[in-house]
Amino acid sequence: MSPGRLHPRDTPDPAAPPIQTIGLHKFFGDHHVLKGIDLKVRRGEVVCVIGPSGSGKSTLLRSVNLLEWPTRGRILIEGIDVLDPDVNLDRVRTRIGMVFQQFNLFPHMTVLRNTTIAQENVLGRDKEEAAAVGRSMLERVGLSDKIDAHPSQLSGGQQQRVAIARSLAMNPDMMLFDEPTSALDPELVGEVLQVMRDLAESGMTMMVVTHEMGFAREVGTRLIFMDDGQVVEEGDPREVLAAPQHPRTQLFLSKVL
Amino acid sequence: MDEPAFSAPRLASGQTGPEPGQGRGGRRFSLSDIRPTVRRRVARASSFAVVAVVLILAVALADWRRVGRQFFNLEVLAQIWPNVIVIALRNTLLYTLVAFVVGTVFAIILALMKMAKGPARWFAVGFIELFRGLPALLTIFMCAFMIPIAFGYHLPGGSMGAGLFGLILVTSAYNAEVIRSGIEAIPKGQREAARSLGMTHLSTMVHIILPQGLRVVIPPLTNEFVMLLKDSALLFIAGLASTERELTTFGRDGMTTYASATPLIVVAVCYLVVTIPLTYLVSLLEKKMAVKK
Ligand SMILES: Nc1ncnc2c1ncn2[C@@H]1O[C@H](COP(=O)(O)OP(=O)(O)OP(=O)(O)O)[C@@H](O)[C@H]1O
Ligand SMILES: [Mg+2]
Repeated sequence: MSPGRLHPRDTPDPAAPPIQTIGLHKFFGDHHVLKGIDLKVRRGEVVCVIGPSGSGKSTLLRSVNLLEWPTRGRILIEGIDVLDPDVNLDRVRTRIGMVFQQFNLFPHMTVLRNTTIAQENVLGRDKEEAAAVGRSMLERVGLSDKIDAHPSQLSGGQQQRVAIARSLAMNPDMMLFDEPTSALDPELVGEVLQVMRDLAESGMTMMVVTHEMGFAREVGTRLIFMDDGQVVEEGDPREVLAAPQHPRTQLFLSKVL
Repeated sequence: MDEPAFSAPRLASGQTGPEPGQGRGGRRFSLSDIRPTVRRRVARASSFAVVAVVLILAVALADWRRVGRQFFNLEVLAQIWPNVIVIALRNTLLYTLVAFVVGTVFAIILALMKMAKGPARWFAVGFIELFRGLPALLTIFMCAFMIPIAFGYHLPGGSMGAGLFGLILVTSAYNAEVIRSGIEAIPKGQREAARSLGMTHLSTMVHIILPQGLRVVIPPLTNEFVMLLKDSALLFIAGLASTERELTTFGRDGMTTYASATPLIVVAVCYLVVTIPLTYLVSLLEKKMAVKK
């Protein structure tokens, strides 16, 4: 990460943390949404982010793969300074999977096509290879029997699992989840959390914005509590949930637990 | 069936109800009549009423022998047949298709430019405002007569080609706005999902946004097609050679040649044969899309 490192600015450094933000600020007009976030996510960590509505959780997550452009600060993805104008953002994004609250599947494509389009288009895989990878990812999320369906024919839980498979098909080094179960009927939450749990066990680096405290406690390796654009408290999920130190964390947890 | 005797023509046996959009006469009033379709029914009924009044007036006031000789003269029809089809209708369809296809390709490019930033956007905005702001007739006229003078360049196809070029300009301006509205109707999550998979701005447009956006605008684009089909009549101003004539030019020439209105009636029927089914297609498509949502 020193300026003088040998490889070009575009090459990921396997020794560097997958995600690092330094003094990250984001303004929407006059609205100061992120107020200096310093964050380091190490390889294999599952960092869960909780906090009240409007505290900037989504904005932080979306900044990591540059769906929002930060106003100030630095973002390093596997050691690459992604705000450097010479860096190819599309290549960086390919290594970061993202799962959205609203799934955002491509409705005009079959389930399998959803998982292959970017493989062919971005990674340059041929049709057969892309389809093979897509199938194996769909099998991994338990949807082998739905490959020819269209997204509108699936339940919310199934759609979200397809969205996860679509991201995994790109062989990402890390995955971002923005409230992946918040749009689901309660009985469908479990199947998506199970897929995420398996993913965490396979060693995937994950950053998960969630309201599922059970998931954070059991799967998370670290819990971050955000409020008003700042990281107020962080630590081992079990400890933070059982004995929050900061009054604002205590207040928030007393409301949600 | 115990309908009262005065309830007008009955449905043929075996039919459970009228076909949509027709055969409303024999139906008794039922509660479903005051559901959402009622306004459309009133509108349709009133347009039938207008047609009926016009017909009654025409029947009452017209000099029928002269009308028959002038408007429905079979000898004149024999003279213009089959050229009215193989030249005039064919050319109308050909000009419309060419202008529509080329114009829509330009329109997609214009729509994308208008959603970009900087000079590309200014150009697109200027282009669209210009050609939507001018009468199509004037644009065609200008293309046919001003381009050769200003640039010393003759477009392929002579004045017909030049006129067609004008029609393409107009079509691309109108269709650009339609297509832009379709693109903007696609939720921004679609773009974000594609970009987060590493797809470039361009391939996100081509593979994700445009296919969905264009599907949304199929009904309004079909509408534009009908408008264009009628506007192709404006090509007459460019001055068309005998084999280049489209329906309206053909009808007007026939009228002067045979001193009869029959050619006008024939070409009018030709237009309607194409436009009315298309208009119905539009409303069908709209209904289908509304159901899907
Ligand atoms: N594109 C935008 N333009 C303007 N303001 C925005 C935009 N996106 C987010 N904001 C504002 O930034 C603040 C933080 O939003 P953010 O979505 O990051 O919160 P959050 O913590 O994810 O909340 P929630 O739990 O409701 O999802 C909110 O006040 C929101 O209104
Ligand atoms: Mg959010």
